[in-house]
Amino acid sequence: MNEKQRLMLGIAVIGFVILVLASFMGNLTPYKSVSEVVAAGKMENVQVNGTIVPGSTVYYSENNTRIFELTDGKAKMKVVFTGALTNYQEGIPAVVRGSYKNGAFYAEEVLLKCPSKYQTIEEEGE
Amino acid sequence: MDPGYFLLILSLLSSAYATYAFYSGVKSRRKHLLARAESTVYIYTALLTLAYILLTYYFLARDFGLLYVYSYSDRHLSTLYTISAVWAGREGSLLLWALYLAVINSAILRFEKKDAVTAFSLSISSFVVLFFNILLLTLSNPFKRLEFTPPDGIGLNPLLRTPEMALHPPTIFLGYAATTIPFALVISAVYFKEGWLKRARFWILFSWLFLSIGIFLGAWWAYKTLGWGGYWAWDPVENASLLPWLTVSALIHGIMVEERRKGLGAWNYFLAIISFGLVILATFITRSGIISSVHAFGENPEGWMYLLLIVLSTAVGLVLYNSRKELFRDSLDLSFNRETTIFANIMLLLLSTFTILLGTLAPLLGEDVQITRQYYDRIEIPLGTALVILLGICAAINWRSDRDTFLKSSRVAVAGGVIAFIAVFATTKLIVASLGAAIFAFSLLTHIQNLKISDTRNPRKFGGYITHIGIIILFLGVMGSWIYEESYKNVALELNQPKNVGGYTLLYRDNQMVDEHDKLVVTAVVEVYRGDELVGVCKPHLKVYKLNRQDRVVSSVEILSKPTHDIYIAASGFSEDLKKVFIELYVVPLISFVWVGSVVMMAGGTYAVFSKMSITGINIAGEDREGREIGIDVSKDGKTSGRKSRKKKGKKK
Repeated sequence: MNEKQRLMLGIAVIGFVILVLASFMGNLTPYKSVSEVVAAGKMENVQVNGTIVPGSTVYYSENNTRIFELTDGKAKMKVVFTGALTNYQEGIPAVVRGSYKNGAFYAEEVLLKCPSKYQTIEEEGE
Repeated sequence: MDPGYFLLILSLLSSAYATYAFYSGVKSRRKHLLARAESTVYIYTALLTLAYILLTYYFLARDFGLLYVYSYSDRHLSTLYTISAVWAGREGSLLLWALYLAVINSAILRFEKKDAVTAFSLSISSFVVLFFNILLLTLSNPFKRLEFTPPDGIGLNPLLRTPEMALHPPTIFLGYAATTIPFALVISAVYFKEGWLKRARFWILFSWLFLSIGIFLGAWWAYKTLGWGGYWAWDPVENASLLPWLTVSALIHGIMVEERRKGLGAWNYFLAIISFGLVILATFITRSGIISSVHAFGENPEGWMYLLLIVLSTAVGLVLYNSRKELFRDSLDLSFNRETTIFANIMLLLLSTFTILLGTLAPLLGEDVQITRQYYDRIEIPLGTALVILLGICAAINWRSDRDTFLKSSRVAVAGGVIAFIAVFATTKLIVASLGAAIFAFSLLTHIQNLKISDTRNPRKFGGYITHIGIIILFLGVMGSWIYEESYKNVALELNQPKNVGGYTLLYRDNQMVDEHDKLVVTAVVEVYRGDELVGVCKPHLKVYKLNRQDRVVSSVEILSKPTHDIYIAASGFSEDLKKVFIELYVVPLISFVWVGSVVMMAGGTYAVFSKMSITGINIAGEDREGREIGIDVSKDGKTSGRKSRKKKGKKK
């Protein structure tokens, strides 16, 4: 490698790093905890993580809607979700994305942990 | 104590002894020690095999007194899925990992030249067996017994009951285990100031192939099973397996340059070490939980063990590099030639690795943060596109710099690209799609132009080109399916009432409820029309497994595959009287290119690995770079028998 090549490579790398950092910072979204959301009373378009409270789920088959409670160990909130939810299970960690208003969280998306890891969680819980 | 645990203790002792005896035998040149080390490799391989068979037996015998069997199977589980349940959890898959590496070590002993480099590298890879053995005895013991025997098990997660998911772990773990060998060889060879490329090449390609198959099976499973219309979500678990694939891909190309030009020696050295480190990281992420925060390490003591192994292997690599600096005087010729484009490709692969790693480890940066998919899309799509363009240029360029030949030979391909752009733009009016098609046509044409029938006799070139063509096809599929997918969620269909969704008319015609052996299946019969024409009949269904676990309800996907797109329907629920079904509809363009491209890619890889370069082929083809042989032959018999078997295999071809 000669001087010129090194210089060009260096510039390219620096430019790329800037690009990466910019989109990294731009897309780093913090999770909110259930307590924070409940305390705020109203929050739009947030991601909340917590654990699904065992025995809290009610499923309405007429409109494919599921209502369950999410907790962070301190506070609980009701989550309303309509749509497909494969592998749903109570007592496992979940991330819900949506808005909190009028005392309930209206989720557009519910993310559950990957299936191969359920057992680990159960064991740890024991 | 369970007999299985006892077997693991014995294999722990023998792998520890092999680690010591190989190392010390090479250092002190004591032949009897090396001979004993050799037999110990076979012994721990046999012990781990027995342990594995015993665990499988417990599964088949429905011995629910064993916690692991209880956790991953139940009485209704079919025999084949019961066998696959052995690797469904962390403990069993770590046992498989260790067993794979043990078998590979035995294979090396059987086929490789028995000299100091081999002996020392076996010491290293026996140490890795030892490492997993420690985990199996402490934190991931598959033979842990309950104090009582429950009448039935919890059952295998219903989502894992598909052939793809049954085969995904054993292929990807084989890829992981094989990555240990280039690492062990590179450390050992550099220590003895020997060449390592010819010995490691087979294992590099081998691990690449099985990583590819494993990743492909995982993606295919996600698409067919998870019901969100996609196959790659940049999930940490997916990223974990992609990272070593990227660095191993870079390593394959790096050694090509080093063999031809003696360049990139240091790059290859570190690529082999980094690949191993990433494999260990991947084992941690896939089997011990997502790194959701720094606490992942605290909660899971196993995390520290993995971290320790990564730090240890990197440190050894760095220290050795420092003391052997004179071996790495690279002469990289970065003029306009193939070497430069290959180097640029390696850089792109490394940039992808670095950025994906950054995203995957982002949660370590602070409390409860997560990186969104946009981050990956914004970085990896341009990198992937650049890579495919470079592939096209690379095929048209010579090892010697020759601008004129390049311009001449790429003329057709450039014309093809322009025609593809115009054609696609005229029909779809989509700029990105047209650009994608142009890049696809350009890169594909340069490859086809430079491929001759006679190249089938050159497995490295032919296999490589086929693999590249697969990647180029895959590129088009990824572009279509990621950028132009349409999704319609929460569509409620009433019985016998047609509904228009996304240019299609859906008609919920009928429903069925069938009681199968282990589950209840509720099926909706949905007719899909385009205008008045019937496109096909879809039968999305819900499976309710007869299990005492809440995730027993699985919504199953039905796909109408057309060459240009898939119509993908997932049922998410029924009303109680079954008169209403809730579905999600996805129209996924060019998805068939993803699968065809992947299969072509794996076919190319298979050709490169198995056509000519069997393990023995490497030995026949090449002595070391320096042509020297340190030659601590364990015994005369060992050596001659090794040679004989090499010759035999050689003749077969």
